[in-house]
Amino acid sequence: MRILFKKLALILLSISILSSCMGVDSKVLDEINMATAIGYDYVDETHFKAIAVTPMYYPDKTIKNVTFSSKSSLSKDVRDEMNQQSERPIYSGKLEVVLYEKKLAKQGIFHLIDTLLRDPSIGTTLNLGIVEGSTKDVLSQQFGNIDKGIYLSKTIEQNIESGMLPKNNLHLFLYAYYSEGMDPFLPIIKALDGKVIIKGNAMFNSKGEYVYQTKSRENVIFKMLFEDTTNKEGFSTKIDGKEFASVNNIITKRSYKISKPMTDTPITIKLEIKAMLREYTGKEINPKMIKIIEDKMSKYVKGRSEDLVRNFQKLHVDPLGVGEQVRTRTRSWDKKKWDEIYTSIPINVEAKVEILESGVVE
Amino acid sequence: MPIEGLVFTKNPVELQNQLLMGFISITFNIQSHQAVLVKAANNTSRQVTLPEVEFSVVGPKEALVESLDTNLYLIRKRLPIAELAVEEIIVGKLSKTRVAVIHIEGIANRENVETVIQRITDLKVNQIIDSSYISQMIEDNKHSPFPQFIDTERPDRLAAVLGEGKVVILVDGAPHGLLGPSTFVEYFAAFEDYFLNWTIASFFRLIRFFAVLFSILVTPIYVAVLTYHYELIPKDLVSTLVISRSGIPFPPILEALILELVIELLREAGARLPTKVGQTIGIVGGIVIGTASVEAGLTSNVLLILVALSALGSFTTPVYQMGNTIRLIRFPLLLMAYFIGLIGISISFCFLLVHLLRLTSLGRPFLEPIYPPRIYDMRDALIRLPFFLQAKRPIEVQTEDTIRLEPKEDSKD
Repeated sequence: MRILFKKLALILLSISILSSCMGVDSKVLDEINMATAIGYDYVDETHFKAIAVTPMYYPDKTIKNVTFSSKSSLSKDVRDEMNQQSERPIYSGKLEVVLYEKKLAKQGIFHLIDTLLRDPSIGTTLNLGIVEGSTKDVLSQQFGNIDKGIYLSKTIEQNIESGMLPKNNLHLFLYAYYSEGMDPFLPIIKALDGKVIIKGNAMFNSKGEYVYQTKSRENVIFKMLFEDTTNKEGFSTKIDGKEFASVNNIITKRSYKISKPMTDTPITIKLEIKAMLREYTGKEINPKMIKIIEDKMSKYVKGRSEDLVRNFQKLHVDPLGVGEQVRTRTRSWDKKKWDEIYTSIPINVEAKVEILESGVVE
Repeated sequence: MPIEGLVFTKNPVELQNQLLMGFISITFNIQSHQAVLVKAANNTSRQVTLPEVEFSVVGPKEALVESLDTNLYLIRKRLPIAELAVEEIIVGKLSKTRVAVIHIEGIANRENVETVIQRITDLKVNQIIDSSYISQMIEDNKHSPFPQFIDTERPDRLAAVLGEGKVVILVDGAPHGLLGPSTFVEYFAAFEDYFLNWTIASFFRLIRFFAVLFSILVTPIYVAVLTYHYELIPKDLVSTLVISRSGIPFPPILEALILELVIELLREAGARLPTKVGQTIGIVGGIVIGTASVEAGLTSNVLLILVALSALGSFTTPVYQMGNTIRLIRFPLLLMAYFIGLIGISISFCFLLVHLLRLTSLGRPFLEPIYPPRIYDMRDALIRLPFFLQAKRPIEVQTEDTIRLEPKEDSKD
């Protein structure tokens, strides 16, 4: 019995003493301000302006956004200055979206992403984005009764799920950034009266500097080239002069054919696209017509894809990860050599469009 | 008038003992020093009634009563065999309580039987009022909050476990029998499980395990997450949680402790009052206190739901003693969650697991068949497989005769 009580006393004592040693300070949910979105704006070459959005929840179920802003050259200073403005400590563990102004991205954003990596409370499923115009315009206006950070992350995720954005988050961005044969990219958004609109993808070079923005027609093509997709969005092509045909609900499969890696023999990217015909301005659809549409579309995808890939080669960026594909097929991978030959390797795209359905109306 | 239990004796001590138990002594011849003892005690006892604690919709509806003889009869009528052995021990200097240790010879492990008999004979106590006295005194670990003997009021369950090779203890004056050795999972098996189809029974058992785990963990996790780990909350749940917490003057731990104690209070008040008044308490507690405290802004309604659900979960345990244990072990977890968050919950859960691993019932491992892993016994643990797949008696009991389902004649070769 005495041993039991001694043991019990020891356990209780060590708990009460050690709990103060472990440095766990409580962060009670309703006594903190959770930043859900942070934006970085360009000020000058060394300084940036940060704006943080925290939701305030009221008992009548309304949510109001409060923004804090501060100018600095270090993210850490920013947080201190924001805390000085806030009645409750600001924590970044529930961060959903981090946005960077395009002008800032041109200088490279990796030194700003670094702070996100070092904080263990920030998850890597965080969404990053580039903003056309200032991030203040995107973050300061609230849309409806929903927190801006959650609204933005839902908008981006919805567009990844069923729109034209390829899968992307902090984790994948870093993977691409640290990969030797791949360059990162991020979605571009723009403020639109309290809402936002997704404009495309921003391509970064291997130093983490923004170099190119995809045009609206290239987005679907980029997504198809980047990953196997099941996509609600589609594309349309011109069929003989006046008539247009458009497809959606496309399922794509992408495969690489690299016969001799690390040499300048052509690399072929094969795209198999299964789609549903949703719009056709011509008169009648019959198997013969479908065949024609399929051929036209294949040609269209091939042309667009090759243009895009050429463009990437010209800019010396590799968001598609062609280098990664080569690296997995090479025994002795040499990054320097790959960088030299990347721009000159002919990369061909073979596209095969198959129309599964032509709709209810025959 | 039928006369049963005639005893011839020359021993004056036995003569005295039996006279005090309600026997009549008849002496025929003074010289022979021999007396005949005729049982004449007026055994006033309750009628055999419906089981109230372990009620089941299907299956037999007889419950044990306070009379040991009636209880023995209820078991013997289900096992009318010569091998059913009953050993009676008189315990208690004052109460002289008859304690019966029952097993089936040739099936039960002698070691288990001897252990029980040994432990009961060694008891030096004045009074034994109920079987729970015995179970508390002969348990392997007397400090453990976990019961190590299953307490049941169903004679059919006792007969069934005797057939499995376990040992049953009946105490005169107690309407509950004890059975052992027992395992942790048995406490979550209602006897009704055996009356239902195995798929349905297994589903109910899994539900019960889930309910118990939920009941132990949900309030500690709530406290830990709201106090330390706000980043774990899914983004769609944040606003619900914060809004329900807004304006509440207490930290989550106080809020949780108050609500948990209120539930315990209600249960205690309900248990101490007669059934009719108990229902009123339920209404007062459930509606008045629950709704009013949320409206007054003293507790958050999310926590109210969680606490109510966890109380509900703890009531699903079929063995009453285990239900009490489940309700108790939530509190240390709650405090640890408040001190160091989820780490605290994991540490206390490890303590709990180590304790369960060390625990034995009649020297047999308590956490069997999970550890030591015995695959065969898993057939009647978390789920219950059909009877034809349970041809062997549980390994846990280490029976002398292991086969309980003889193979069919035609399948012999």
